[in-house]
Amino acid sequence: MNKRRVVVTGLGAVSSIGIGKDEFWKASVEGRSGVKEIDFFDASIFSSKIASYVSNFEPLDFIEKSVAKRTDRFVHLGLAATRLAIEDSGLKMDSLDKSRVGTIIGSGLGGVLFHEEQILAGYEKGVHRLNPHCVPRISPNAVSGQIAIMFNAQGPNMVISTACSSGNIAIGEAFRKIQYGEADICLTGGVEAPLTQFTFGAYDAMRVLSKRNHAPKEASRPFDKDRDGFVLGEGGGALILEELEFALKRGAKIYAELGGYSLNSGAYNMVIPKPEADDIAKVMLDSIRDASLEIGDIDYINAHGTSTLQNDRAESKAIKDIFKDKALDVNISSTKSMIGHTIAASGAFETIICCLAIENNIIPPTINYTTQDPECDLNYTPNIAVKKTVNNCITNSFGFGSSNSCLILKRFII
Amino acid sequence: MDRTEIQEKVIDIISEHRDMDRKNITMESSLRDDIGMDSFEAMEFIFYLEETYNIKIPDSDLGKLRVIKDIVDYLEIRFKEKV
Repeated sequence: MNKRRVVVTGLGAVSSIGIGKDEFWKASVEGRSGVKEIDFFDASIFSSKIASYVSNFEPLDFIEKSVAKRTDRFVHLGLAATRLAIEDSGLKMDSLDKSRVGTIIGSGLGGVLFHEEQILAGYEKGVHRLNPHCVPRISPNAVSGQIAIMFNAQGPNMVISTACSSGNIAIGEAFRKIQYGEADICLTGGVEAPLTQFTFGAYDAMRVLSKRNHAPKEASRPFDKDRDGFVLGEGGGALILEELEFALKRGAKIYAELGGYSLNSGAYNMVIPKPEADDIAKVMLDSIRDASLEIGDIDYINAHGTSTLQNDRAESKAIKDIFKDKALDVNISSTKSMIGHTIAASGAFETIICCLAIENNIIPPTINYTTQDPECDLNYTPNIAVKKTVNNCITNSFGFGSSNSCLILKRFII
Repeated sequence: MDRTEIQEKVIDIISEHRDMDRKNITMESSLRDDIGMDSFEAMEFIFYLEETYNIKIPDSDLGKLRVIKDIVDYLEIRFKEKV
């Protein structure tokens, strides 16, 4: 059968630099950082004491109290971002064939906040006195379940849990579901709320977090010579994907078209990126082919760009290996330079940025870029946004466990 | 703990967790039909009662607790037993 065309018609973001896609985009173009000192648990015991968090998020602005009370923060972020995306799309959910609306969301860790509270309560009161909500509140699929319940989405439903690539893969899988006719609309994206003392401690223990505690806003510096690790973050990004004819028939605003998608495993290591970077080079090449494009067609790469020594080096190598003499023609930037690494939400935020880059013909910068690393010698759109015609974008996400994925967003042309 | 205190506390818990106006909760209010709890929500409500009063409510007693009055009666008896 012929694969159907899929377009992006709605965007929703709950991030440390803005709530709503307009605020998020404006802050991205201006190069604002959402990283701060942690002030909601004792971080003095950790090597890293900074994070990217959404301090002005009021769940009750988006969710009924009775729902908010029985769901964890990651679900709050997902419900809020999805509501924003649906509003942005103009879709009237009640008028749709519910069985054709899918929900595919990325969530790496699920309800760690509640999980931690219950573990502590269990030790105090006994593990036989746990809250009956433990299972449905902690399970990562609570987010796809609750979104489907709130919006009565009765189509294909799942959570993708592949660590840092979860959001990217969720969007890719939603793309496939519509391409192959299993849904006409998908509510998709990614969420993560990992900022609990235990979970933060777990990341700190891996020694992957930046220790630039004296200058939080400068800590996330992808591709820069003085980068020393990533900044952990939280947030929720949502996108509405629609089958093209459906979108055109209802006069939907179209941000971009999903061009291509590929995913693979580096089969290398749970934490360390493969230094040869042939796995991530292949995932980029495969998705360019999936989009029926050539290397030279790519205007912008929204990098995985975590600000770790190894990822940024490997990613730069992979880009050079496949772009060859065109490697310097393409603009690269990392959204993580501003909002840190939001794990499952990162793929969603970064896809949103690609859609808005296409809409506005502007490429947001990689901030905190001051010194070139000889092994990262490409054009990372340093510090200032660039006006450029953006027709075709790549967005990369490489997750712990060697889980690699890549999406292509294209300018929609009828 | 006297009967009025128990009644007020039970209504407190329901109105807080169900986001309901206290005025709409009477002794005759049925958990399922008037307050609109499904079976899981009813179980959750029982959990909050257990936590509030530090008691264990066995499965075998759940069938008796259909309207608010049933719950208040039940708790009154349980407190008398404790003493």
